[in-house]
Amino acid sequence: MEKELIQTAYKHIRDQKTLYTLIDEAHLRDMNTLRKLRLLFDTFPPKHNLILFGQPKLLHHLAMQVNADLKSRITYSVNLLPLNDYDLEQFIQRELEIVKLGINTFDEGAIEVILLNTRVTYDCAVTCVMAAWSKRVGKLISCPIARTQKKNPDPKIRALIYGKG
Amino acid sequence: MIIQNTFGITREPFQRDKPELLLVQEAIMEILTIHAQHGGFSVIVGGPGVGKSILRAYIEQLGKQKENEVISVSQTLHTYGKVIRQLALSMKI
Repeated sequence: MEKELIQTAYKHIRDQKTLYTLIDEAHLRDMNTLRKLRLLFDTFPPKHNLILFGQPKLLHHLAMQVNADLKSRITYSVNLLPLNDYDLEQFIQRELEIVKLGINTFDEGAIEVILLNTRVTYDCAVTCVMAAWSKRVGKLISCPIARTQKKNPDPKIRALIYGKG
Repeated sequence: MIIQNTFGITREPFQRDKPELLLVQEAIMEILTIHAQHGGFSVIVGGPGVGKSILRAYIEQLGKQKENEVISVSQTLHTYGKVIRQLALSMKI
């Protein structure tokens, strides 16, 4: 089976393809399994990237002396962090620009309320829906509106974000 | 429909069929692409909800392009043999 995998990988490279192998939830996998996989991918053609996705404890496991052989082979690692307030504000402004809405669509208090939470994706979705509502009714979104929608979104807004289900 | 009508857009927003990356994710993607050209072993970690799955979904989408092949294993807690079988399945062997 491994031989066939390697042959297929070489076939893809001959077809001028770049190969990506994604292993999700790598922090839940046995280190020996990851070690064997790494050794297998050593025999793959060079135009290939083995990418492990996992929670931060994966890096802690890899930092252990016993896993130094694995860690030494890592060519790139990154710890994704939640968006900070500045990034989130920039994101909201960028989205508003895309849909040609003014950056003052939300007043200062409304922006603060939005930034108060770490559920970034959800907040951004609510933000966009509120912006749509703002444009439709021609009003700015104030702090009380933002707070109400964050705490207890209107069922119509909830349906827009999560779908009918 | 409210959002589509208001903004005059044709695509329904908040859909995961075509993931869009944030600036941070775009930068990571750029590095991953470079490493893929020269042979790479990359590790992307982060707590729940920071955007790992979006990044993974984006790379999986790249597999639809002629110049890329993406093999993805997402089932967990498997032995080496089972992971190999999943890889083979993903590579259509």
